Amino acid sequence: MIRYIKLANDKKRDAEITFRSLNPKPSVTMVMESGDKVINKRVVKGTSQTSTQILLAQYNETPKEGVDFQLQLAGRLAGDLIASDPELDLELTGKFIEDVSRVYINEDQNPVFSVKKTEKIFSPSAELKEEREPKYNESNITGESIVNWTGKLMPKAKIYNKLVFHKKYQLKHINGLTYDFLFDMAKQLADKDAMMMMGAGASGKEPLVMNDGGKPYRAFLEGRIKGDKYCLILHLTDQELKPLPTE
Amino acid sequence: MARKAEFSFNGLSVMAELKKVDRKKVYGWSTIEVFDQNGSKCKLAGLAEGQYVMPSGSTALVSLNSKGAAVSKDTLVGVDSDGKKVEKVPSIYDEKVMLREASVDEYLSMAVKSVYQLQIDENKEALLKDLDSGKIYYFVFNYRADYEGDDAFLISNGTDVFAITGMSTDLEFIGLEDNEQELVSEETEAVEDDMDFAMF
Repeated sequence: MIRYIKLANDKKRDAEITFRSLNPKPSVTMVMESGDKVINKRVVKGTSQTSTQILLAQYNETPKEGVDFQLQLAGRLAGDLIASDPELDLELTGKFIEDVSRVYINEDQNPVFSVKKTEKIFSPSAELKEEREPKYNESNITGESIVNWTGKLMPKAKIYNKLVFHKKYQLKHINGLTYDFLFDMAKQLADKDAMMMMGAGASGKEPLVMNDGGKPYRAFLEGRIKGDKYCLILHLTDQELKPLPTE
Repeated sequence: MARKAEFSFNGLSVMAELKKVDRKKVYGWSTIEVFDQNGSKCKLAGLAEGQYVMPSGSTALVSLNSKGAAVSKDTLVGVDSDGKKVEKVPSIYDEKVMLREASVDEYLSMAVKSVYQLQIDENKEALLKDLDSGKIYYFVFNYRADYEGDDAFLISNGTDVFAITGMSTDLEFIGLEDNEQELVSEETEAVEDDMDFAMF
């Protein structure tokens, strides 16, 4: 699927162009000693009905004096696991599965259809700082939104060791006009050997959200040139290059 | 005692412990807790065939041969894109890590996976001086021996030395003719084919 981003240049002229994630795939494949390929399949190990929690709940035991009740139940289950394999559902265990939907289940392992969500914010030392309704970030890179040059130009030699660029996207033109548009952008940045901080939202300086429901990231645009070819990379970051806090 | 890797550069050696710099240890983190109408805490699970509830850990990935029999992962070997067997890349803890100089562009081309802070006992100043002058060192990173190592770069923020690991990306230099084109759907083509101007 082609993904689009609406990008403005230094003159605030905008155009819709495409981008792709730079997500390298492993170059090594695992095969059998003979060189024959293997097929990887997902199989069922168990279900909620064979989970430890449900199996433990089936025992109608009375606590023994001087014995931890959880340990008492666990001991009984351990014996049954050896003797009668209650954790195996012979109809299902080992069955190949492909399509699995995602559902929320409650503590009784039953699906629930109406949920309430709470977001908890923790400090680096694991202290609860805030509880709030989760924020839903809408994508702000296309449609009504435009990704702008903020004017903050950072030399590559100075920024590479300040921020950690976890995600990268390569931008690509869709026609002759947008080729000129992107080539010019890449050339400006390559000539200055610098990266431009990009911003979105109403102020044009807010972090970028690449997908609906996604995380906000600060973005920097890098340009490279080879003859009449260009390479424009959008680097995303949510982390400064900082050491671990001292304990 | 924590394991240390030995890095070699300019005829010097540094022994360093690598500590993972987790973002949440620097900035904190957030989690979303989900409750049902009775206030019971909920978890995400899978639902297979519309009826089987599968909590986390209910499935496994198996490798099968051409006859459908399960194959132990220990018996598999790594091959490259030409089908040639590849040797395992040793762990950085198993032998001396040779550093080579790299460019900023090479570093910026890498999709980052992890950040490690290096705890160095000796020769830290010599390495810091090198890195602070703008040098970047490249090496192959493997925590344990495996068929494919990650790309890794040593950089400094002025006070500390970091190893940034990940995989180099295939950047494409794009010319005028290399534009992205939407596939024309067959439906659209059919409509055009149906246009018969003789009908007017």
